Amino acid sequence: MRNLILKRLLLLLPIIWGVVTIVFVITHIIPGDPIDLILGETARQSDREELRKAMGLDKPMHQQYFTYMKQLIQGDFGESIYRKQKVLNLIIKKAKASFELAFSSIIVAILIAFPLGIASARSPGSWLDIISSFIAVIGGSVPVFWLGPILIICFSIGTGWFPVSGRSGISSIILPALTLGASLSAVLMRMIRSSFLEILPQEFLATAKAKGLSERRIIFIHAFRNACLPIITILSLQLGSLLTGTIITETVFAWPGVGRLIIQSISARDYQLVQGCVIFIATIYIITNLLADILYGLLDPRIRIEENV
Amino acid sequence: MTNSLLVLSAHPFFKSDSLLKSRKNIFNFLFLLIIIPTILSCSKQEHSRANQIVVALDSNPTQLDPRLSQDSVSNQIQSFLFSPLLSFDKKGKIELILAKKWEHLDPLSHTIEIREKIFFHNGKELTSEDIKYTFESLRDPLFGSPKSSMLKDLKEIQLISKYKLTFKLKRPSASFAECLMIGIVPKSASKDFQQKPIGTGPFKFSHYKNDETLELISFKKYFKKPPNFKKLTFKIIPEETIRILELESGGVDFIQNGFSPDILPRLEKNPNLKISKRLGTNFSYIGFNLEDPILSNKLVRKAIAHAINKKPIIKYILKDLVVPSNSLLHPNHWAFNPNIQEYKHDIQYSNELLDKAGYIDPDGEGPLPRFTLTFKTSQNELRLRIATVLADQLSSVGIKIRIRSYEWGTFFSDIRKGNFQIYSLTWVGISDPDIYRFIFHSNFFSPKGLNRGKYHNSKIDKLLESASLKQNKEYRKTKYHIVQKILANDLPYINLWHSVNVAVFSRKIKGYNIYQNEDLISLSKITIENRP
Amino acid sequence: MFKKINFNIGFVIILVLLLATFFASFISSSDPYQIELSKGLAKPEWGHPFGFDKLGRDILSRTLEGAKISLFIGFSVVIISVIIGTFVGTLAGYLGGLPDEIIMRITDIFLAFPGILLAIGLMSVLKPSVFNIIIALSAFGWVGYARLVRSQILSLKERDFVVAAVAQGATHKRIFKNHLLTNIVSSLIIEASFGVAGNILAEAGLSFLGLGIQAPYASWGSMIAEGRNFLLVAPHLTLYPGLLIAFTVMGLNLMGDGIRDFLDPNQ
Repeated sequence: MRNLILKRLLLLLPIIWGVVTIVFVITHIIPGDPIDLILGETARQSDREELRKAMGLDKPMHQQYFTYMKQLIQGDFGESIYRKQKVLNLIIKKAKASFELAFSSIIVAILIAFPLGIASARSPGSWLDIISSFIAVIGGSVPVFWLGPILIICFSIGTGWFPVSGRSGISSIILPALTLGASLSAVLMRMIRSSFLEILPQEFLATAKAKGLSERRIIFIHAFRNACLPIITILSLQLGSLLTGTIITETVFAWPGVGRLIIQSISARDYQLVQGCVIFIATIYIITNLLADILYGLLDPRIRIEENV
Repeated sequence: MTNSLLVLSAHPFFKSDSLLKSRKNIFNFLFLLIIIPTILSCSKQEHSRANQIVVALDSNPTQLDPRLSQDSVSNQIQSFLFSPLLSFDKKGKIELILAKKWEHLDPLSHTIEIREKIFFHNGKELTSEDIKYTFESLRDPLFGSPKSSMLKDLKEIQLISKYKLTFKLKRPSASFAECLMIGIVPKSASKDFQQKPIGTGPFKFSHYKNDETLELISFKKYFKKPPNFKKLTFKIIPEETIRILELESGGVDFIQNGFSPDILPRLEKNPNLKISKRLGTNFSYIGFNLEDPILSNKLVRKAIAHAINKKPIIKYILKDLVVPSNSLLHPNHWAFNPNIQEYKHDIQYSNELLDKAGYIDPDGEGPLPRFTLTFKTSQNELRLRIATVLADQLSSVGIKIRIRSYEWGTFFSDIRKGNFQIYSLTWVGISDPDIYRFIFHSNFFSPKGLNRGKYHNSKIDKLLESASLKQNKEYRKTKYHIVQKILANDLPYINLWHSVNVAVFSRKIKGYNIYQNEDLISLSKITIENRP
Repeated sequence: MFKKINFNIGFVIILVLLLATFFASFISSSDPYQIELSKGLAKPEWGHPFGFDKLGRDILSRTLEGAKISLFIGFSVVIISVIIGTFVGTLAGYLGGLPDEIIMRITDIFLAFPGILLAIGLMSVLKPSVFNIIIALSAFGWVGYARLVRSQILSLKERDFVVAAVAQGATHKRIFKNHLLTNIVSSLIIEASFGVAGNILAEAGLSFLGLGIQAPYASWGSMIAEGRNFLLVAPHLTLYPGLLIAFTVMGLNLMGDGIRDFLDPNQ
């Protein structure tokens, strides 16, 4: 197990390198000149050239690439052209906000999906099942930029329970987390329901009963445990849409996270900031996947058995 | 051996009960962790709002340094922090701010005498050295200021005394007064000036949480009457619907522009809000690429001008929040020519012109077009909506329009490179008519200047050159009248409209005046009247 | 009995939707592209049950028109993604060892890559069109299916009936077809049914960022994205396309449930 973790961590570097290279090429190919965006249209050509030289943007792309790589290896993520701050500092400041959002939405999703999913699985075909499925479908099929304002209209304007937007304390994260977590909870609920349904009628239930455990115990202990594996898979698979959702949620709720930072930096052609953000996101993905894999290892002894083979 | 880590299956798996119990407990615990504080903090933060105004912005101010700001949001904010020598008042007239006297005795020199006892936020007194420093630092190309080219006619700055200085020019420049409208920074401006800006404005900088809020605090030692309230907060909210919701719920007190006209009726019905309007100086237009084979033909351009019908767009989409324009200059401008030819909506005449231009409609009323043009635009919703309507209108004369909307950076790059056929944009903050030179003179083809359509007319060139050299308003007015006439005939642009600035704010704000150039500075002079 | 109902309801929903899409002109006589500015944002009325959009176009006919594009994008992307994903996942899971490692690391790169950046990049270089949107969405869509298939194959590989088949000397093809495929299909279908909805929403997300279907054409996603500025004054702009997405997803889910129950080897 430990060897595997080490190996995966080592592989982190070439993967990040691959991602950074691709992003570097793409951002530099996209039309749009940051010098134009900074200096505006009326600047003199000579001024433009001076600034371009000062930023190293006059050099051919491969040279810029090597300069960036050299810088990166030394731990310098560069400076934002626009904000005149170190990229690393900017990202760290925003990352905290994005983590809060992502974490809260996963919790919200779990809190909604588990009770609903288990309840529907226990009585398939009942009204509860149908209504839960319906709620899940609605949750999974509304776009984030629609759900957000609707929630605000219902729970903020009308009642005053939560602030409309912005990051200002625990009450301000509820609506964004709900918005982002809604679609995740829908997928999760379906998965929980179907994996519980698969498990409940199966043989080991009989085995467990034979062991003398009560029915409630059976459901909660064994089925629960077995559902965790597909759930973790789903959660890690949904990371991609979670990221896109985060970008949109942050824009809607004016939440100051990395998602918004990426959008702004792409618009401004703030190359080093874009690249820094991408490295950050890529690293998060890979580490999260690794954690998911480790969790599998912990939960399923069969994996560990096979390890030793 | 395989690395079968990912095993997705439902296999029986027995483990100790305690681990499961702890997992359930974790869930319960997390649940409580979220719910309880939420309940506790349910009463909305009722921070003292009696002494604070919150303004909603649609984007981050990119620069707080007045020498670097270029976008309108940055410009609006820095006018609270910094004072310029001169400025435009709400009706567009030049007024003296830091300057006590402004003399322009010969065409090559401007002499300024500033008021005494004006203090920066750090307590130091403003002297002519600060002014000299502001302008000279601006001209360094490595400083990266978009305003440096404005000063290319400046030869040198001569300090006469502690409160008096003279700007010497290389050549006469009618629009130099606008350069004197840049906010003044202290000569001791340090490296982290961006993070901690210091000026002489009515508010001083408190803190800035990027993408969230920018807070300013009233400056007690402001050389004019200091603001009547303590805190001016800017909240950055990218989504239009959210800004409106914040305004309606009282989370935000003030919004100016940045919402679609359809929302206005709803805001007008709100008893807590007040609406203020004033015609602005913005100019919206359709630009042609005059090097394009189809569009270089004047008859085609005229046909397009006649095929378009501005009236229903202004009435239904813009809800009469614009004034149709015949010129770059708005109707109240001193150089505006009221006698310019108009292009009436006339489908039949348009069809005739296109036939005359040699583009016959291959199947008469049928679906085949005479030719196809690509209309590039940004992602601005209103602009896109209007482009769709224009495309529909032009289809009735057999011109097929392909609409392409791009993200701003890409769009702007295409426009500057001349990589377009038709596009639509808005010129902002038009004050001195010398802007005509940058937009229509043949020396200023993009990317060097603002002549994106590569318009070339030697008569216009001469007129614009002579108008920029003389100061005499009457002389310039005659020249610009002719310019407007010729342009209306040549049609490098189709003039659309000038927009009305609309401010919506809480009734507690008293005494706010919208400025013609969208400046928000009037907020520093308002009083707050809180209802019990 | 219940399962059959599931499938039937779902099937009926999807069928009705497809029929409505193809026979749109019978349902609504309005032209989805006909601009009528005086009716901008007007509420539903007789003959126009869904109301009018910001340019006075009939929303019902636009929704049906948009259905064609949205469904086409949704299904195409999922089909392409499933094909690529199953191929890659099977390869990785079945072969194991080094090929598995390499393939999984490549999929990691795809997973780690913010698709949004690629979308912006692609859309500024290529012309924004339905075809290019499908490419952009498929470029990342396949990864999820690959991982799913791979993990299923890995677990099934060790199951008794597979081991038995190998012992009996069955060819790879036979093993795959008879034993592995049927087990994979049920998970794939569940993921795919959400995948279609996900892609319709992804296209909406692209439209939100301005990279989706171009004016004056419509997809459900672009209609919702366009309507979001008018939530306060004209909620019907986003309501109806949104409802249709919900119904489509529901129908697909129910169908997916039905098929899965039908194929469940444990029955």
